[in-house]
Amino acid sequence: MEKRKAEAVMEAILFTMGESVEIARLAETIEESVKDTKAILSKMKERYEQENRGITLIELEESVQLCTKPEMYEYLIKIAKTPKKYVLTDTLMETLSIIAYKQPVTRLEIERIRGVSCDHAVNRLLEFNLITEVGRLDAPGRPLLFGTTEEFLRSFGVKSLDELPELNAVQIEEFKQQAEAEVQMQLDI
Amino acid sequence: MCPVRQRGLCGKKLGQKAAERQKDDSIMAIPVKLEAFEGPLDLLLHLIEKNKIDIYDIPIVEITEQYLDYIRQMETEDMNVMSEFLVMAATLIDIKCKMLLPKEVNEDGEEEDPRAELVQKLLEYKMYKYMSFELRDKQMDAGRTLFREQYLPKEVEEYRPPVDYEALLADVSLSKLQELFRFMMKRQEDKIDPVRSTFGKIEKDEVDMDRKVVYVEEFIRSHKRFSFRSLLEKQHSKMEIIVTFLVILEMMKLGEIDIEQQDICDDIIITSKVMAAG
Repeated sequence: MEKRKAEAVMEAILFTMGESVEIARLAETIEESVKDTKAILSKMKERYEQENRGITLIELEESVQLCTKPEMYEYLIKIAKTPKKYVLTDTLMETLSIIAYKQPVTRLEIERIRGVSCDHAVNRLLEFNLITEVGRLDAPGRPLLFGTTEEFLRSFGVKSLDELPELNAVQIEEFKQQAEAEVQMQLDI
Repeated sequence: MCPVRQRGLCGKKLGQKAAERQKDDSIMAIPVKLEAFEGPLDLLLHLIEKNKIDIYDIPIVEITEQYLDYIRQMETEDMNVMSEFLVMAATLIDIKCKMLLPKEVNEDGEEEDPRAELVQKLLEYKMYKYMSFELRDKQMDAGRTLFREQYLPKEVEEYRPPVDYEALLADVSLSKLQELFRFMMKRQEDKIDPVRSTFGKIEKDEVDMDRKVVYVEEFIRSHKRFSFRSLLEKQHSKMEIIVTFLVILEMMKLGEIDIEQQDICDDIIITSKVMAAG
């Protein structure tokens, strides 16, 4: 399909669907390879960004979705009834960060790190569709494994799990020293 | 109040320590007892930070005291949560004890530091706590981007691609259909149990056992002493004879009647025992 037409077709699809669409499916529709489709989508995104548009493309793992630009937010809240952003408590955030960085992970492992039971937190996160069951661990009891969802990527504005903020080595060393000092202090007789 | 005196440690040192403690107490006292902690590690970190003032001069006794103090006051009724805190308390005391003893040497010949595991745990927890703040920042930023809800127009949702009959029926031939048909019919036949399917209806007994019991009891009451044969002759069918016989046997077992027979094959005489009693 001719490039400009392909762009138009994909734009129409993304608008209609609202939800994210797998790049593979788009590729089928415009009869191009996934690689070429990605290239076209890149161009599209560039155009959205450069021209004075209110919307742009966002990539989520292997899907794309149309979305508004962050700069538009102030105007939008005045008109559109924005959905209530659920508030994540500290407990939920901690549990979520453990799952995000260690996935796939079992309840037991989460509890081991946090030091308390995490049943309630895990259930809430499941409700919010930020995490999901991704399989079972090959161990006695075959416990469930959890991982993050596409919704998680959307809510935190990351394209994929690789984009999660990283704890750099310097920070880790710092924490390590702090932890040692703390324990030393406690236990020094 | 001087807690040290209560512990009963020896004399002179008491005075000194007491004065210092008095000063420290005001700094180290846990201010708000209503603070809720996410778990034992959280509480531990909190206590540690609060006491940052003089790191190397605060003995483990103090920290453990405060820790225990706090959990005593915790108003949580959730035993699960409480137990986690208690486990940590026990762990702290355990480490304290281990510190008093010479360090264990593991297989590599290295000394094992009893605090190492706790440091590791604290470190890991700290890391994830930190990351959760980073994530939260990201969440705030991402909150400024809005999306459309999924919406599929009805025609799109209901669209079904046209059916390709050629492809659908490619594998099907008449002989295959016939085979399938025969297979299914055979399965139906095989399902029928040859014996049980011929059973007819379940019928009610022609002779009601309970009624017979009443009849025989009445007979005994009116005749008191009679021959078995005479009783049987009164019956109208084989079934009735059988049931009557069974009733007589039952009564014999219950001790309600007496049986006599003079000679073999003579008639059997039945006497009511109940009547004899009164």
